[in-house]
Amino acid sequence: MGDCHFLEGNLRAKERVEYTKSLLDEIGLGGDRLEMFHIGASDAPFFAKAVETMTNRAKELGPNPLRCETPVAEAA
Amino acid sequence: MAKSFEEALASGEFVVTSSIDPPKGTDLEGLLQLVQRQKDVVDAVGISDNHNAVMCMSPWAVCRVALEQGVEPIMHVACRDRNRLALQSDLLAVASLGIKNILCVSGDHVKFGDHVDAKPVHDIDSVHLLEAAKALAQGKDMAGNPLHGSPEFFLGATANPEADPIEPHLIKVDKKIKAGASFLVTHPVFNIENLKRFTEHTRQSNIKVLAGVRLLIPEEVPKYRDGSYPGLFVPEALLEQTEAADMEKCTEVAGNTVKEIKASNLCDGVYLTAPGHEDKIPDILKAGGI
Amino acid sequence: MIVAKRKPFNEIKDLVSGSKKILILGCGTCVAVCLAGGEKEVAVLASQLKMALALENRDVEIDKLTIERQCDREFIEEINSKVAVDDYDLILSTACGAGVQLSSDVFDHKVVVPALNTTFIGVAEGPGIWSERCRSCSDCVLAETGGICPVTICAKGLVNGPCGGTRKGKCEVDPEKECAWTLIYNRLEKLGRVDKMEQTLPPKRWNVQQHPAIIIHEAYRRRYE
Repeated sequence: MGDCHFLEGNLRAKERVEYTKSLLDEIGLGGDRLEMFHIGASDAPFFAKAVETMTNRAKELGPNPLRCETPVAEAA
Repeated sequence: MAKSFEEALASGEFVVTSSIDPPKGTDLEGLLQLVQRQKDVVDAVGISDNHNAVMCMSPWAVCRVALEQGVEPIMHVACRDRNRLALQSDLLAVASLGIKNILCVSGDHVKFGDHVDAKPVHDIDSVHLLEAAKALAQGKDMAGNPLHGSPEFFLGATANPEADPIEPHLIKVDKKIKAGASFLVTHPVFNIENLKRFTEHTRQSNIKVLAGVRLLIPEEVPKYRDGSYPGLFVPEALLEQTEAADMEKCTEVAGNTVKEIKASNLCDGVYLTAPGHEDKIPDILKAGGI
Repeated sequence: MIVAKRKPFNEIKDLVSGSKKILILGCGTCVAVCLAGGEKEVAVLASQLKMALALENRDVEIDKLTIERQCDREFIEEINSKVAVDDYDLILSTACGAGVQLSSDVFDHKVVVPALNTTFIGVAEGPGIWSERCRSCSDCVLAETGGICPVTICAKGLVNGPCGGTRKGKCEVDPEKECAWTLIYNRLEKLGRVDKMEQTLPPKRWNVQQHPAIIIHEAYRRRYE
């Protein structure tokens, strides 16, 4: 956090992501479908963990009711 | 014949006054009893106006009842609930009922009370109210129209020696005196040094000062701390002492404050408040050596 | 400027439910500055509405158009050359209350509803934060109070303050709020003009301006007489 190549960029992005999550909550779609992870450019293990977290979350939340007909597990 | 409140203040004797809140309802029984109990120990009784923005019977009715019981009332008038038309109307009405002592106040904000969505009026402030009352007594209303029959008033206002910062507050007090206040009732005093600083300033005029003394009780300590009582600033040491005290000790503490104020010779009397426990006022005075 | 806030989402959704084709009409002036009703906010709102209604299995066609401002007829009338207004069931305006009303006047054969609650006249204290500064009382006393408005900033609107509730320079109503008259005193002291505060200010003239108010500039008087 704060260690952005563009100085404050990742902090501002975090604020925007939080705001967007609240917009998604507001309409009943759920802000959980969106998440931001701060990962160092060379930190592959953490990246893999983040992907795993979101994949599991996607399975838990189920398909986006506005789009996908095919369940994620089958697609994977 | 007993001296009037105004005469008592003018005489230089130490004046004792107390405060009673009108009832929330039409049942005046409890109030009548309080008035009877205080009758012989105070020079006048202050009757509040929707104190703490809690809706209660209008003070003018209670003042009239007090008069009929042989007790001189000091009627509070708050600027929070009425515009300049209603305020002047009420002043004329109460004068016709024989109510003379008027305490002009801004009024605690509606957020403290039980009707938080009410619209605060504040058409005019307490300085204007004093000016208006003074003008009525001189036969004219606020718009300059002549009156058919003028009221007679003895006007007062409030002040807070514990205010922080004090300078803007003293400027306001001076305006109140200029506008026609003949006496000041202070918010409860806890620090004699602050009272001294205050009366050193007011000494420049001839204004009479009644120092406020409040009965502090342990159940209310959280409220004293969190600002639930506007204008009440209790020092931490006193809060801690009150938390551990029983009613007898609380009464004694209030009595000592009365004693200390009287002994200091800084002001012209005291104004005792004990919301919900007005029956203790005679005990406080006794503990205070009065 | 006028500061407004978007209404709660569900309230807006209820206003447009039942419509098949709506126009969200944005405003590029005050409400854009306070991030409530400008072009970007219109885009977000359109997205949200489409998605929320889709979740309820409702389909609605949403068009977006943001004009310079909705408090001048010329900008509203231009809309006719950009979209076919008659095709819409409803116009959702993200202007302030004044703009919604003028748009309603121009399109008086259409249902025009507000997406915002108009809150106050104020200034930006910083990015994303606006504070109320003026109550448009039509009887400005800022010259007497060091540029700090007692009607707006004092909770009791006292023109001769402070009241007895000032607690360490804060207002009795909200300990996070500064006591207006402490601010005024400090400002006047800094300017060497405390004597201004020592003058008793007269009661406010609440009706020096009748409401609803109209102002006609002197130079245009003949046009409207």
